[in-house]
Amino acid sequence: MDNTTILNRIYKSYDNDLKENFVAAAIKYRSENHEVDHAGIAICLNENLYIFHFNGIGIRLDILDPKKWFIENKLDFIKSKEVASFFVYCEEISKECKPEYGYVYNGSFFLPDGKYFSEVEDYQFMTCVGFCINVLTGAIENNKYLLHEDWELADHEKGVYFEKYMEGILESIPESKRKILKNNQRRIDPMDYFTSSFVYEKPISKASIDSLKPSVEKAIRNKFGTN
Amino acid sequence: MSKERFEFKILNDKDGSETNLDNLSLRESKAFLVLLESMISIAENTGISDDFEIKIEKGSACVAIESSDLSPLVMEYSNILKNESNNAEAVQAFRNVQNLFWNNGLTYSSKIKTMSNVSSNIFNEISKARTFRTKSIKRSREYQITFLEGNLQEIGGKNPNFHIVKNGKTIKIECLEQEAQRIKDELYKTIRLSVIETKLANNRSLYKFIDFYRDVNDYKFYQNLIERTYEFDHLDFLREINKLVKDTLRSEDYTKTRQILKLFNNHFTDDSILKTILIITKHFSERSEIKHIRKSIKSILEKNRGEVLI
Repeated sequence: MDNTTILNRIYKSYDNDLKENFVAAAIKYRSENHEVDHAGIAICLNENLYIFHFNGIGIRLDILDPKKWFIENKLDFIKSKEVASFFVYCEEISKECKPEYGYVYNGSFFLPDGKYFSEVEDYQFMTCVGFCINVLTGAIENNKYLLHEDWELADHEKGVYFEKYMEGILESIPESKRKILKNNQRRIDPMDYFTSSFVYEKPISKASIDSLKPSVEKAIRNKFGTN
Repeated sequence: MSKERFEFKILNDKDGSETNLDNLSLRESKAFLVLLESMISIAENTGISDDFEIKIEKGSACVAIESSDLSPLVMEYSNILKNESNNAEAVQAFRNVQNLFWNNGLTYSSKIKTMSNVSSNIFNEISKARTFRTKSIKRSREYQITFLEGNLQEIGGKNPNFHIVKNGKTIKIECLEQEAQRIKDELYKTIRLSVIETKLANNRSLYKFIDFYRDVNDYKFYQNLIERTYEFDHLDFLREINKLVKDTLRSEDYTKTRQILKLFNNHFTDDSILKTILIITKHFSERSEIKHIRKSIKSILEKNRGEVLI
């Protein structure tokens, strides 16, 4: 995908026509320091724009406050006629699923009956990005949206992070499951997620994201940066 | 420049006495509150320009919106009257007014005045309309799911088919060989079934077998479900189908899941229903009871959208 196409595809929430339903990858961008620190899924349905995200405490499906805009890129694999189905699926997830915050992603996805498909079903640890990937993966036919094994935390990072944060949470979890969770610690950052929305070939490899990411970052900076 | 205006008025209390804003009965105050709240919501949600004012006026009890341009409101109102609006908030506001007009026994009037037109007939329009709801799924003109009950006769033929006889009228139904096998024990008995009806010219139709129901309650339930497909608000129907399929999956009643899926396994089912079914059954795609029908639903959706599902 060339730079002009990327530049043309990205837009601020509400800068796009809401007449036609769509689903879009959405990230929170701080124009003053170019930081991207949150991810969600934007859903335009019947001329309302919703944001579906995990804020670390709970799942939220709300009409997006125009003042709290995201940067969006439409997901072409969900057609406008399918958006209502996707929305109902998201409603189910927000009613039934109870994720907890943690840098773990093991190829899991949500099932709209509130169950969670994962090697470790009982413990739904995820980040805001992991949440989006769980949601998108549950809505497609394939069991993989991302080739998540491509992503890893550096080994030293894993240890430190576990000591500081996860160990405490995991204490009560049986050793066997703890191991799986530990082995599946990975950090897929919001820019990786956003860049994935430009990759046509699914499931998406880290290599394909890495090759596009600089162009996407540049496009965001050019279009929305303030310095 | 004079402003455009949309108003609701309470004229008389239930006992016929004239309504006066200075001195409202309990019933009148409740009605007034509904009208005021609805009016605010209508002003907020129909996209009229920001210069609008909400007026509360004496005489009878009157709430009104005034603005330089009410055309978005007029447009939305006309869509709501036809049940063709997707604006859930505005529909809800008008529905609240409609319920009030229907149920609480006071006398009202309502008027829209624009630069080009004055319409005083709003009260009648609202009270005579069907229950306001947002847009539902559109029926196909050519195809429909039809439910039939009658005596089963003459199963067979090179191109398998059978006849249903009711009140002396015979309907021929095409089927597959294995479907003919399935129903053969019902020969000369009353059978209840669902078919795809294809409407031809001259009021004639072709019928193709979908399923048959031993339990009369199932028959009625599915008949009702198909009715609701086109009556419910679009999103509400998807929620309904999602819940229905979810319940069968939770209770591991996969035969029932298949029974539901069969009714939507056709090219004229709305894409949103097909996609809802695919999402909810994703994790069960290898279950023998639903594997084939799910595959068929998937390929129908892929054909409709002109692209494979990833």
